[in-house]
Amino acid sequence: MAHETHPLSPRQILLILGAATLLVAFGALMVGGAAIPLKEVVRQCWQSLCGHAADDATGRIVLTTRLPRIILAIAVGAGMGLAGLAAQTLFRNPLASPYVMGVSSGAAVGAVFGMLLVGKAIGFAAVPVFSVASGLVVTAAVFLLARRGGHFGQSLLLAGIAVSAFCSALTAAALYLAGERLQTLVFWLMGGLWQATWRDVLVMAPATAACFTALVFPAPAMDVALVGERSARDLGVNVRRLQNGLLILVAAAASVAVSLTGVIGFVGLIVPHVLRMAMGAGHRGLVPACAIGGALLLLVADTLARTVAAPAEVPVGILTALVGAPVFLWLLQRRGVGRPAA
Amino acid sequence: MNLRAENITFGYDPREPVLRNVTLEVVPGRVTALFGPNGCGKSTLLRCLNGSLRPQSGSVMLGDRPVVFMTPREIACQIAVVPQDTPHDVPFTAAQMVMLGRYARWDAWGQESPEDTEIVQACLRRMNVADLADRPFSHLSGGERQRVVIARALAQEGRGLLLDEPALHLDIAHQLELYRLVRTLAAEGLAVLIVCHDLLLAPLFLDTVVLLAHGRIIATGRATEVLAPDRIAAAFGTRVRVAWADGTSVHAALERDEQDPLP
Repeated sequence: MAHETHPLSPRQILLILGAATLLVAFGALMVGGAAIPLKEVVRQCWQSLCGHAADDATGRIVLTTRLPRIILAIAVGAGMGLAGLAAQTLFRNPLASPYVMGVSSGAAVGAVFGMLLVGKAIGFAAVPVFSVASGLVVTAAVFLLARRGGHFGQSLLLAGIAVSAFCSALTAAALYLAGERLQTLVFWLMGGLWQATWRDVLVMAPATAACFTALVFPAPAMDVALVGERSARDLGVNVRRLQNGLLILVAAAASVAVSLTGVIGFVGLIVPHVLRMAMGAGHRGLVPACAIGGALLLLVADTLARTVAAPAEVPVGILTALVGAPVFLWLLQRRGVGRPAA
Repeated sequence: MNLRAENITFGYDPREPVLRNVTLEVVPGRVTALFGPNGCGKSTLLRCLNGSLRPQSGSVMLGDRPVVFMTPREIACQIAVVPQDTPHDVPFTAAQMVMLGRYARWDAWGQESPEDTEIVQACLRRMNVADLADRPFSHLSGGERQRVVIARALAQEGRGLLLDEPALHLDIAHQLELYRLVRTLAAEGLAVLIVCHDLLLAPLFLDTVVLLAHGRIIATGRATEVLAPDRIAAAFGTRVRVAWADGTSVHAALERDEQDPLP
């Protein structure tokens, strides 16, 4: 039911989410192949902050394996939460996500071809560049196709679905031709953070921070946009500029995330949806909440992914979809399909 | 501040203009009404007037400024629009919906001030929907939604108000109330343009009637002159009997054709 009174204020929800994320982050530093007690974790972090990191085994596990992975999970999760929120507002449709716009599959196609064609020649480091480039190119194509249509939101969705299908076919073709590298590609496509390095963090964290900053300012305009394109214009929103801005933002955040971690589904779909139910549709609260909520969800999922079947690793994309899809279906059952979240 | 369309021609497809050489002025203190058959370009004209659509030729001036050079925000501070229909599925309460009317006046941080809240409350009261303030917009009836949207337009505190068939979902008492409100707003100095089909009540509250047909203005003047049987026949292609009783009440009735079945 829309508009049950929300028991918690947006501020309280933000505090709870933030605290939970910090707690889980510390927990995640402790668990894994080798259990490390909290005291040791804190000591290692403190020492490295003071500039003289201990070069022992525990230090390496905490500071070069677990910490970058945890921070990357936070940054990617936050970026996906924000991208999902921006996409849902852009389409006035709570079921939208960077997926349906073709960004994710566009970025995936670039990465797969990057790995196949140039991975050997110029090194694996170039793959994310390919991925981001193709994600942006595909979004630009979808955008240009959609601008010609009348109702922007709808034609964007349709163009996105079509282009997305095309990219998936390209990816499938690449997999078919991959030969002995099939397994690497498939594993990558499933999405995961096991290769996380500080370099990845240095790419993703600024991208997410930029996304967040870019979304804080149009938050009131995003509220107005929910009443429809025409009315938003009448109320003073530069609708076209808002749409273009949100689109660029979704494309950038999603393709950078995909380039680093593969396709991790459902975070961007579910986080804004759940938070909108918990705190209402006001974007001033939703923007920070979706960032923290996405971070928390991906952090939890990734920690589970590397511990439930330890020492083996479950691709986190499998985990988010396996848990995310039923949760999402349950939400749909509860709310009725197509009704906006409130 | 006058809102004036000067000789504008507009077509969604430039080869097939919906509006041809239309000149119209909305004047402060007066209620101007736009009558005309379905699809004759009334709503299109309204959207040209607030700069949402850009005419292929001619100009729309707000005071001495061309509307095309103004930002949506600047326009929204001056002109409020009550659209013909609003999506039902908006995830806001009535009060939040009205608060959106204040958007154009917020700074970059978009903080709602206590003054905004007061204005929203006042507008809700004025439209008799104060008791619905915390109800979800999607749960309201058609008439209640319409009054909330009008309250939102009032919250914009513009100097011009453009209403597109505002009486559509209202019962006769609320229609009367709406027309009285529109009169009062004009008396307070607003320039009001109202698109309507109502030959029964509306003519009693109008200063100027503009009759639009096939994208052209075919008559402009006082209601008693413009809403005459021959003019109506020319615009709508149907014969209507209109009787004015000394300007205080009006009777409009369809003239029965031979083919019309008896009730």
